[in-house]
This record gives sequence, structure tokens and C-alpha cells, in this order.
Amino acid sequence: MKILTFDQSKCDGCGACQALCSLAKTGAVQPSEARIRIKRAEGAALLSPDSNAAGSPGEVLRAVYCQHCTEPVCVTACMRGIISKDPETGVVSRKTEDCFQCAACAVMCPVGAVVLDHKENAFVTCDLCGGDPLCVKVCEKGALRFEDVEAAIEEKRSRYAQMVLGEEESL
Amino acid sequence: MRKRIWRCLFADLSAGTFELKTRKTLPRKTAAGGTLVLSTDVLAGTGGLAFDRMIWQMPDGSKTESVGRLAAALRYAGADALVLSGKRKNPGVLVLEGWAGHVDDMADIVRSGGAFHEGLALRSALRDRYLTDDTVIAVAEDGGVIETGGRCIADAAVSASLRGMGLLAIVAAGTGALEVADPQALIEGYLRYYQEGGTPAVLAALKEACLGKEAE
Repeated sequence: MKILTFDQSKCDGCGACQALCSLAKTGAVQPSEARIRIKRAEGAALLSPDSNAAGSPGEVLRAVYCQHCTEPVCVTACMRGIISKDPETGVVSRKTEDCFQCAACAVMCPVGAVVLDHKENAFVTCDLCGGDPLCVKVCEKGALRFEDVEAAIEEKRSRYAQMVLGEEESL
Repeated sequence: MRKRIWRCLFADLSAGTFELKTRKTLPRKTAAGGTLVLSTDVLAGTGGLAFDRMIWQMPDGSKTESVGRLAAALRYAGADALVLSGKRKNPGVLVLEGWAGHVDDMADIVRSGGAFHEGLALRSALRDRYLTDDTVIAVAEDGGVIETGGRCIADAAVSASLRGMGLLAIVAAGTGALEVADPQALIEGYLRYYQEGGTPAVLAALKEACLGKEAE
């Protein structure tokens, strides 16, 4: 199973992922309604030893997109039952034509990845572009990657260990 | 190739009026001078930062080119160009959102935002008041115009001109949509750009996808 991963130390906030995502999904460039959002967050980077270059002092950039959770709360929250998780690919998808914008999924989403698409009149999330995410292709810095979940976990674990060990050594 | 139609926001700071008009050409230097024009590239806002080009035309006719997210946010806010004229009595902040503009008095920001000092504190006060995920704030400081994220998007001369007009900052809330002639061709053009680089053929294809093609 493959997942979308984000390395905040590489992101410079260029906005290409948001612009191209909205263009592919809505037919117009509207980053505010893109399925992936680059948000500013205050505080130091938790899982990355390096702060990204684009943020102001004390600010980091983080990508907000559907994590395709193992047990998605949006699936149980949806009153119409239009959200489902594919047992094989693990992708959480929805039938947007039946959405009546109750916002239950948006309220329950733990990462805030649900976006209201005003053209479709429905709440939407990242569908990984059918297994070939456009945002990854246009990410010049390589901050976004589409990789195997095991490889992603291993890399995150080693980066975190490196950060902790680095701190201990400096003490 | 089709000629671009400019969506210009004319802001007369003396009168406090703002008007969005479409134009076939950008306003040139006026006889009396005193007009500052900020124009954006046809590809600004459609791709990454490299395409977010803008040109500042000074009141004396000289031009400065730069790259920054303000260009993209300006287009998402509904304007391809900003035509500033006149002078405010009190320093203010030009706010662009929802296809319109207005100026907020700096004194109001001081009252609502807490302590106000020049330099860094000015940026901090503006961030507290205006910053969202879709907003870009460009502050006219002594050394140049600095936008959100610390990027310098114009030199000290432009900054001095803005301050001379009574503007300490420009805030663009980019929540709108930017329509293009051929979305699929634009996506393919960007994929080519990220694989082949910015060759003339690729850039021409990108512009054509934005503007569309028709007989001259």
C-alpha cells in the first residue's frame, strides 16, 4: 500500500501542489479549495530536525491532506454512508453527488483535511488521483512523495532517532 | 495568440475609491506622474513560485521585476494589476479581497492589535490582524518590500514610493478562483516543465493554455 508523505524540511511554500491540485479537480486554479493545503503553523518542527526555509521565524509549513486513516472516522460520521475505504488500496473515497454538506466528516476529521468544494457543492478529500498524485509530480523540492507505507514509516523513524540522538550528543 | 485582458484595480488613495476595470493595455505613466502600477505575469498563480512574477512600475516610469507569492494572491483576489494613485493623510494598509479593495487605518490596527512599533513589530501586528493560510502580506520597510515568509519582492525605491503614498502594507486575501482557457493543457504543460525544464516551447504552451488560441 502506498501513501502520500510530506517532508517539511524540504517545502518552500511555492504553492505548486495546491495550484495544480485545484486545477485538476475543479478546472480552475483555486488553492483555497485544493485537496492538499500547505498551512502555516507556529512552533518548532517536531519530526524534522531542520526548519524549512519558507517560514518566518518560529513558523513552519505543514501539509494538510487526507491520511486515509486505518479506521476513518469520516466513514462512520457520514450520515448518508457515501464515504468508504477500499480494503485493498486503503484509499478513502466518497460519492460527492450524494453529499448534502452536513459537514459531519469535516468536523470529525482529526487532521482537518476535508474541504468544501463550491463547484461540486460537496465536501471532498484527496483521492490520491487514482494512485498517481499530481502534487508529487510537480513538487520540485521533493517534499511530497508517494511511497510504500513501510518505507515511509522506516524513514520517519530513522529521522526521528537521528534527531533525538543528535540532541543527546550535543548535550 | 490572444491578447491578454487585464483586470485592473484602480485605487485612488486620496479619494479612497476603488474600482475594478478590465483593460486591453496597462495604464502608462500619467502626465502628472504619481501612479504606481503593480502588474502580474500571465502565469502568476497557476504554478509554483517561479511563475509568480510581477512588475512594479514606478511613478517616474522605471520598472522593477521580482518574484513572490503576492502576485499569485493578487490574482486569486481578483486583480491582474494594481494601479495606485493619490496619497493618504494617515498611514494605512491596502486590503484586497473578494474582487474589491479598501484601506484600513494603521491607527485601528494599533488599537486592535496591541503595541505597534516600526519594523518587526509592524509585521507582527499585521500578521495578528490579517494572516490566514490564503493571505499574503507585503510590508513596505526601509530596505524594501518584504512579503510573508521573509521574501523581498521589491527594492527600497518601491517601498519608499508606497510609504510616500501613505501605504505601509498590501494585504491580498487569495481565496478566489483563477480561470484558465484550457485546464488540461495547462496541467500537461506543467508536467512537461517539471520534466524538461523551462524551454521556450514549454513556456509558450503554458501561456497558450492560460490565454487560449484564436486568430489574430
